[in-house]
Amino acid sequence: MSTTRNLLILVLTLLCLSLSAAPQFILHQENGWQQIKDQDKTYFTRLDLNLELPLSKEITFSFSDYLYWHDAELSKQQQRFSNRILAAMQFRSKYIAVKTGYQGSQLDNSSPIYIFFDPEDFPFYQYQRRAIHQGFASLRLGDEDISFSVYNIARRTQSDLHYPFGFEREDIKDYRDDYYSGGSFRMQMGEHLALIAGYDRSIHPHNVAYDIQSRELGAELGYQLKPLLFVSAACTWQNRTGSNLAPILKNQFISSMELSAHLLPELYTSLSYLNRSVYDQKQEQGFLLSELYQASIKYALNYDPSAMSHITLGTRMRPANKSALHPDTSAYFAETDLKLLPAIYLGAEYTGLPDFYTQWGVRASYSFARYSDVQLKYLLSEQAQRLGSEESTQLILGTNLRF
Amino acid sequence: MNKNVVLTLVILLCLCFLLVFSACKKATQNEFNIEKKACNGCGRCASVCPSDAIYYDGDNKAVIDQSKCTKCGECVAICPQHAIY
Repeated sequence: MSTTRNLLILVLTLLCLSLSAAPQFILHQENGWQQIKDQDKTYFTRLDLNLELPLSKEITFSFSDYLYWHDAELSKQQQRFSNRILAAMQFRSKYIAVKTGYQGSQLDNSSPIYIFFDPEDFPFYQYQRRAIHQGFASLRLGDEDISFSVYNIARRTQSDLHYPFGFEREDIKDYRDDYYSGGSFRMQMGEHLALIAGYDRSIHPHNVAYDIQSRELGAELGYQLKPLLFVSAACTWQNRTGSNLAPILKNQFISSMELSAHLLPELYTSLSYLNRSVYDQKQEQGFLLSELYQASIKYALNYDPSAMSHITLGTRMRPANKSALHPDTSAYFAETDLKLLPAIYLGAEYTGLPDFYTQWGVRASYSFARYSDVQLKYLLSEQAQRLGSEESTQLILGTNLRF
Repeated sequence: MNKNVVLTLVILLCLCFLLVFSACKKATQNEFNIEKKACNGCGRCASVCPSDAIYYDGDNKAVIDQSKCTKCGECVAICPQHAIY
């Protein structure tokens, strides 16, 4: 089944490429072995494909495929096979933009799990997830000064049912439908300021307790302080109603600020802060819900005119999660790629999520075109102490293609 | 008033808002959200979500259906973009 589908994807891709003279094609593919300490070696493959195909001046067809296959189940909820495809057609003119498409995921070879489809009922049955089908359509009318947009999403999730305790029930379906729709209005006030109002609604026919209605009112500000220094800020008030939402989460203020600058032609920095706060009507007090600090700095080494030799440092910190007794989800990362010989690069990377895992890696790549290369990568990972400190290594042969 | 002065004032006002919100006490409830700019639409979060709470908008960006989310955090650890906060 999966071979037929992959062949179909390949044929479709080649057909699309033959139809147009200027498509954009991005492929990232990895094959590798993973060795977890004291366990057998396992094999995995991963493919990310993105294709954008302009059929005419106004119409664009896009196709994406994200495939993952592993010959062992790495954790209880990890699918051993997942394939997500997206196909969309977009029409865009000066005053009208229409987009419609299909997104589908095929999931396989995972253990059955308890899925909480009903907040008031403990599920005495397990689901083995099989597929997620989603269709969507959106319409935007207007121009850069004033615009109105609406969207509709319909989704069906399919699973195989299992009854570990034997209480079979005929009224339990092996699929669930969800509908999401909404609209927004945006008005540009001068060169830098925009006002936004929006309404979103989710409908869950299998259980109305999950239905949410959400109203938003906000402002966005973008300002070019200097030719290479950009500041943007946004503030949104969001009011939600839904019987399965905690009352304190119903009124939220979402504010963000971002600063990006080229301090030197080869030095790019970005700083941003995002904050979600809530207002509790009972206590008449504001509370911090979550926040995200992001900082990154990238230095392109000027001995390589392609700018592919670089050193990048970054962090995404989420301190509010930790104080809410959740694991610290902050991430720290560093990456470098250095040109050693013509078309030969040597790189190293580090990713650290202190409460989840730490990962080190080295790679050698042969670049045969700009953004296209063949890589050999070695990764060493260690799970956090609370997850058992398990060590694993990966050896990966990968390809990046972009044209 | 000079346009640049007005904009600087608006930016300072936004900064004040951020500082005030940061100074607030931590809420007893938590909620995970996805930073749309960072999401690459790979689908890994949806494939591990035990409550089918993640769907995708028309721009292929993941969205968490907050009424279905059980705050288990499985999606946080698997996201290659660290886009969930």
